[in-house]
Amino acid sequence: MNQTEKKVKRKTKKALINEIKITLNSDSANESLARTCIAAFASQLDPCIDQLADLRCAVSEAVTNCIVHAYKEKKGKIYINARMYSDRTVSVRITDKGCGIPDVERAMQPLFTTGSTEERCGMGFSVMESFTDGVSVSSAVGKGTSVFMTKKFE
Amino acid sequence: MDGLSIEFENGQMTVFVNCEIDHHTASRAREEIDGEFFANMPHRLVIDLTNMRFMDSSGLGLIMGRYSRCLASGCEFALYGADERAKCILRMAGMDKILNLKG
Repeated sequence: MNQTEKKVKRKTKKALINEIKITLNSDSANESLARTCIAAFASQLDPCIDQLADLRCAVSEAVTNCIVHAYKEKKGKIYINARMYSDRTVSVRITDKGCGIPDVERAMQPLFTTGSTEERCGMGFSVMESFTDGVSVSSAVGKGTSVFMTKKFE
Repeated sequence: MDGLSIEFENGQMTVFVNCEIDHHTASRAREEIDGEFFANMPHRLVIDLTNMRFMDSSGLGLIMGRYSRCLASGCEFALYGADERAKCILRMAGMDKILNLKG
């Protein structure tokens, strides 16, 4: 039997069908812009409104974290990379070069915040996790943080 | 502030939120609501989210902060018109059981 006649089982791999990269200033006015950009990108999948709103909310939380915590409301850049795959999954990576998180596990606990407790309620990561299919965070103190989230659109 | 309208009637202050509430807009909303609250000292504060187009956890912070002000002043508090996503965020913080949620 020659090679071409052999039946080869191939695992179906999802293909990357689109990608965008955005760099924003860490200005709170850009929180809305970030949401709008990612929503416009994911709209190419003709998603249901609720799922799109979920992703907008998760992106808003991540970008807000960069502004409030990573850069402590000072100047910095926020790097957003969104990818769309053939299985209708969208991944969004939001990266900063801010102060970094000393204890990621602790930071992700509900109601934990290093912000002014009167108005920062420490639910950002909880919201991200609740409204996406998964969130992973990598960080180094003094270097920055990268938040990676995925959402599969039905 | 654009997107926020505040009305007074019979000692009740109603804040109609007609915009998106995120970290950016929450700080301006907070200043305006607190300014009117302390200038007028209502006996009831109602926050109406019926026409709010978006909320993330900054909105939760805004609501919780206003609720705290009410508790400290002996003022009643009620939240109207929260949609399913807003209720979900409130539930995550356990605030759905504490706040007076209507409609």
